[in-house]
Amino acid sequence: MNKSLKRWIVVAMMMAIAIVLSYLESFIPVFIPGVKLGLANAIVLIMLYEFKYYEAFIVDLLRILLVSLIRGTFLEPSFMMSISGGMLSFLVMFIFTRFKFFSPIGVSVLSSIFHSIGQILMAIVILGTDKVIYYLPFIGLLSLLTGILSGLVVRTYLKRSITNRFIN
Amino acid sequence: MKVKISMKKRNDLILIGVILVISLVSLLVFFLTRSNGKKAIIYYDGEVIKEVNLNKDQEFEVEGLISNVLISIKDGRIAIIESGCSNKICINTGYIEYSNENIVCLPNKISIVIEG
Repeated sequence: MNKSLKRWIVVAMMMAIAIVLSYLESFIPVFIPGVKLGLANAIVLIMLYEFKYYEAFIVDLLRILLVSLIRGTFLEPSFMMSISGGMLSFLVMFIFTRFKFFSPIGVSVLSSIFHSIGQILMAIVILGTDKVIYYLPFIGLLSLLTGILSGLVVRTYLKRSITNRFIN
Repeated sequence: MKVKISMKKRNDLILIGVILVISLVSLLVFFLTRSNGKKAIIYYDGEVIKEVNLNKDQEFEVEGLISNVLISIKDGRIAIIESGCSNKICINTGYIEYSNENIVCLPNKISIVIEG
């Protein structure tokens, strides 16, 4: 099979997994509407390690857009919070997968924390009050937990070099 | 190589530790400095639309972006008890009573903050 076609099919598969994860986690509300745990970040993080960075970015951006279309929240507050959290955590993951300062678990924890920070910043903009910062320590602790969990998933995946079996 | 791996692990642990300490310390500060609130301020889209005294039990409606929101004050505590939003997180927050605690209804752009 055409090599680049094969590659795009695998990217599409990763996106499908990311979409299912984001859709499922949208049913788990955390204190403020729109704040998510960021489980789909595990997929994006895997892709930043083993795919090209723009492929990871396409998956991250498209999953946010598609999930909001599926849920019917496109351009609503919760969509704005997803996109702001998603983009901020992508930036953090991008930086720390290039500078290998932390293991996948550390990068995952950082991305999870910045996902929450991005969402809270957007909530501050939407609500026009900075009082929602009150939630940050609670969400920080939850993010720590989910960051470690998705970091373990990423580490397990990377150890088994699953991507190589599909591509190359 | 071995040294490099253990260094990453060490960095991970430092990171997790720092986040844990910051979160726990700020939680502790919240709990130690909190006091029973005297009044609640209701915001719509960043503007104060109502200030209410928490000592007087009452129920009233305020207008939100997509629906009216029914607010209840009872025994010095305040809650949103009816809202037309889809996820009902504001209602599930329940009654709040301490200063700086807040209730947020993002779809309605309504937030309630308690002040001491």
